[in-house]
Amino acid sequence: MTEAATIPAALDRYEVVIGLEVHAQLLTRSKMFCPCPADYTSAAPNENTCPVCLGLPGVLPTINQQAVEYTVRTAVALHCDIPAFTKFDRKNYFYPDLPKGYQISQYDLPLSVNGHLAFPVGGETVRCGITRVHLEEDTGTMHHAGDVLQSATSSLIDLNRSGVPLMEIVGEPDLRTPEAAREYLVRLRQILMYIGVNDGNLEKGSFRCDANISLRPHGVQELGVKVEVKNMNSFRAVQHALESEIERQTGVLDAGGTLVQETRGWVETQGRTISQRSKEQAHDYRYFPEPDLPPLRLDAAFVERMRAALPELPEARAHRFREQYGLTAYDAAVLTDTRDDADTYEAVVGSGVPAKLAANWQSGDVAALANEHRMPLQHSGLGVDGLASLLRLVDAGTINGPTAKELLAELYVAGGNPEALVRDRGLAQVSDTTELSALVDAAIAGNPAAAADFRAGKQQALGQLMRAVKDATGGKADMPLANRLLRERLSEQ
Amino acid sequence: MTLSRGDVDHVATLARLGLSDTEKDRLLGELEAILGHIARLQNVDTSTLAETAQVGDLVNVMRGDETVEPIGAAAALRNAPASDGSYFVVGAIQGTDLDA
Repeated sequence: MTEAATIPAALDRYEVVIGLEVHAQLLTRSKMFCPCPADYTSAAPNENTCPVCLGLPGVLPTINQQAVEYTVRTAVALHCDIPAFTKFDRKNYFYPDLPKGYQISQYDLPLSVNGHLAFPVGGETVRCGITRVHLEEDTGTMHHAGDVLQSATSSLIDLNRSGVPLMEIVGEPDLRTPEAAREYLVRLRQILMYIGVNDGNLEKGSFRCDANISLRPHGVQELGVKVEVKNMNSFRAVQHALESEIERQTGVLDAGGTLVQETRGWVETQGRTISQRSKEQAHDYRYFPEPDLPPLRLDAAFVERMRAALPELPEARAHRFREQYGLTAYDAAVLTDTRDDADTYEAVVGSGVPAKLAANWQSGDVAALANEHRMPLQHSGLGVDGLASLLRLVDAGTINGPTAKELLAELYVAGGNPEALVRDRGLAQVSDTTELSALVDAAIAGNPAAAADFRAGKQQALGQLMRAVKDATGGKADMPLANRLLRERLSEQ
Repeated sequence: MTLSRGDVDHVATLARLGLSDTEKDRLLGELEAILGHIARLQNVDTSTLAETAQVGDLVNVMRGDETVEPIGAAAALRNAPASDGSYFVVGAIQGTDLDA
């Protein structure tokens, strides 16, 4: 990778201007303009279709109210204004995945305008304007024989995705680095998932991003020639594609050349963007009002209902976690990463587990197990209640840390009642001072060399004695207590 | 209303129509006549009317998010000129990627 060296050098000479467009499928049951199931992945090709989404003549589209509500919910979460009047338009172009020959979208009167998203990047707050959030329909999917479009002799068309509600979030060209672009997407996706409108899957394309990027010399107001970059299906790909594009554009400008306004596709395997086509002018889409759909008048009461239904958003929740539970900024961010994570944490703490103990276990062992089994806690056998029950046993001193770790690993997938298991298997830790004192004496008697070393000042020798006590209890010793008793006894003589 | 041959070429490209020069010459005249007819609307005094994108009075017509059994692939493909399994088959696309 050469980016690491060339990007900072490029940034000395040029200001990078990045604006992102995100397309997010809405989590409705039915499609945008017809009542076919919106699920396009589990059905056989073309199974979830009807005359409307097949683009047959003489049909009448109808607006899915849930999709409108989800879009307005998103718009208010992004601080947008919701105009009182909005309508749909036809965007005309020919492509086989678009059976009508036009896409129903929104042109001059979108559902929302003028919002913003603020987020930290490298310790500074970046504020990116949101031009608009509007509603449209997704296209079908195509499979090219031979995988390469240019050499394919024919293509297979599946219209299951045709008409799935698609929300377009257009960002202002306010981003200045690939890192900020990536962070914008991470935060935006997190919000969409928090408010329950999108499942955030970049790989499968339910959350897609196109980037517009241009360079201009520092101090120049006029924007440079912009290039649209597509085909980025991970956060990493977005960052790398933009870095690669900065490097390419810098090379052209430094050599005195001029850039062409065009669309370029990111090719992950080659680590570079490749020209796809020269961009058609906007007026070639010949937008005109969709005559088959009445316009929408969304009154203030409707918008307020959408605003009131918003859950606490991630940034506000992380802030509250710091205040209310005394968590570090890092812990608060980790525990509010998803709404499920944050709900889990509050449920566990609400059941009586101390905040710091719950935070340590959830962001440590529980996160590791969730990752290992690819199964979030809420869907695991143990469940949120099981974890809370286990951690209450730790907090009460009934079981020690290692026992809790083992139980957690054992029960995570299989499930079970931690309290009953501890009782039935006799896993409660040995924390009786008399009993442990006897075991401490036995450990010292059985390991005279280690005892002598410790008394001679060799701290590490205590480990062998601790292990002896631990083994004598089958791992159930209250180890902090055993440690204290060992030190007391060894300092006596 | 005057159209140029360039306008006809442009519209033909957008419509993916491969037209001969003879056809283009004929269509130039026909399109001019059609647009000329529609242009008569310019003579109507609309100064007292509000702008609108709709001729009806309907507003906020929406349906609930309920699914209805789709017609299924077999019915969808019944009139397809070509199919493969339950896919439609279309000819080569070759670099005319004009997607949204």
